[in-house]
Amino acid sequence: MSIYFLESTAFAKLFVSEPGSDALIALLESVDDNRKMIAASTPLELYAAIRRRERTGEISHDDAASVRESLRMEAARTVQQPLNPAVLEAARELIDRAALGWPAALQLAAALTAREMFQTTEIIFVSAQPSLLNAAKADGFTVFNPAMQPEGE
Amino acid sequence: MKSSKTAPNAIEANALSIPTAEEIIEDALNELAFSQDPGLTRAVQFLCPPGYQAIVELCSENGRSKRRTANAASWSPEEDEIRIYFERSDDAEPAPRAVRAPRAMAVAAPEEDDDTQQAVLPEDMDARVKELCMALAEAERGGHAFIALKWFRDSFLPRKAYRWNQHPESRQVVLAEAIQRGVVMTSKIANPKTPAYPTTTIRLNRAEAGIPEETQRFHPVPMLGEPLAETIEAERGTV
Repeated sequence: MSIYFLESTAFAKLFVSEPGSDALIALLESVDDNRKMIAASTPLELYAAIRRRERTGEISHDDAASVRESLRMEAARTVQQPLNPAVLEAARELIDRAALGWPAALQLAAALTAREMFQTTEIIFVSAQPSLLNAAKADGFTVFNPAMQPEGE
Repeated sequence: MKSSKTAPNAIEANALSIPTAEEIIEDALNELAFSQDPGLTRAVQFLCPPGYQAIVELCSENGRSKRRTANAASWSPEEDEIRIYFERSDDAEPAPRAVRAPRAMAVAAPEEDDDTQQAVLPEDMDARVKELCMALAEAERGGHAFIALKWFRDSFLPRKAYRWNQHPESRQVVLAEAIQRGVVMTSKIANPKTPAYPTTTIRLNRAEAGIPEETQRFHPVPMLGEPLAETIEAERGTV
C-alpha cells in the first residue's frame, strides 16, 4: 500500500472546485487517512491563498469560511510531516540542485524526509505544479498530477 | 505493594492523565529492548519479549483499572498496582485475549495455550459489538488521521455510557469479538518512536457492521478566476 503525499497545489483541489478536483477526490475516497500525508506548512499555505482570493472577491465570504473549516478538519485527519531540521536541511540541498523556490523545496523536502522514515512504503508525490513534479520525479518519486487526468475521472 | 524507589515527580505526575502515564511506561518498556546495559539483559526477556508490545494498566489496590480521567498522581506505589501484559506485534492479528485475573505486579509472559482460559461470551455480545461499532463510527468522525487500537479501547470507549465498558477485560473481549467477526479491521502503521513496534490501528468495516458510509466527504466550492494552485505558485514566487 502506498502513501500519497499531497503537496499544497494538489491538496487545494479537495476544497476548491477546479481542474483535477474530481480525479483527486475519486482517488482519495478509497485511501485510508493514515495513507494521506501533507507537510505541516500546507494548511497555512492554503489558508493564505484562500484569504487572498477572498480579498479579491473571487470567492464569497461564506464559501471561504466553509473552505477554511473543511481545511481544518481534513488537515487534522491527515498525517502531517513536521518541518523538523531534517526537512529544512533537505530543502536547502534541493534549492542547490533544483530550480525551486524555498516554499516548493520545503514541500518536496517533507516528502523526501517521510520517505526516509517509511522506507518500506512507496510514497506517491501528488502535485499540480509542473516544476515540482519534475523535481520529484528526478528524486525517484512516482508522481501524480490530478489536473492532468481526463475530466470526470 | 511496597516500593523501595522514590515516588514519581509529583509535579510531572500532576500534569499527566492515567492513559498518558501508561503510554509513557509502555514506551519505556518497549525501549528497554534496545538497551545496551548488560545488567538489564536478563530482565529484558520478560519486560519486553521480542515480537510483543507491552500494554500497561495502572490499577487500584483492588486490581481494577484507574479511572481514565484520573490524574496520574492518584496512583500510589504504596497502595496501588500496575499490570503489564503483551500483545503480539507481528503481522498476525492478536488472538482474542482471555480474561486475566488481576494480580499485583504480575508480568504475564505471552501464553501460547491461552485457549483454555477463554471467557464465555456474554449473551448480549451482539448488542455490545453493535455499541462498540457505533462508538468507533463516532471516533472516526472525530477528525483523527487514524484510530489507534489502544487509544480507542482504553481512552475513548470508557467515556461511553455502556454497561460493559468500564472493565478493561470486557472492553478487550468485545473488541476482540468485533475483530473476529470482521466488523472491525486492524492494520499497522509505523511508529517513529519505536520502529520495532508499529502501532495497531482499527477501522470500522461499515458494510459488515451495517453502518452506512458517511455522506460525500469532500465538497469543493466554486471560485472565480484562476485555479487556487496558480495562486499558490504565484505566492511561492519564481526562481
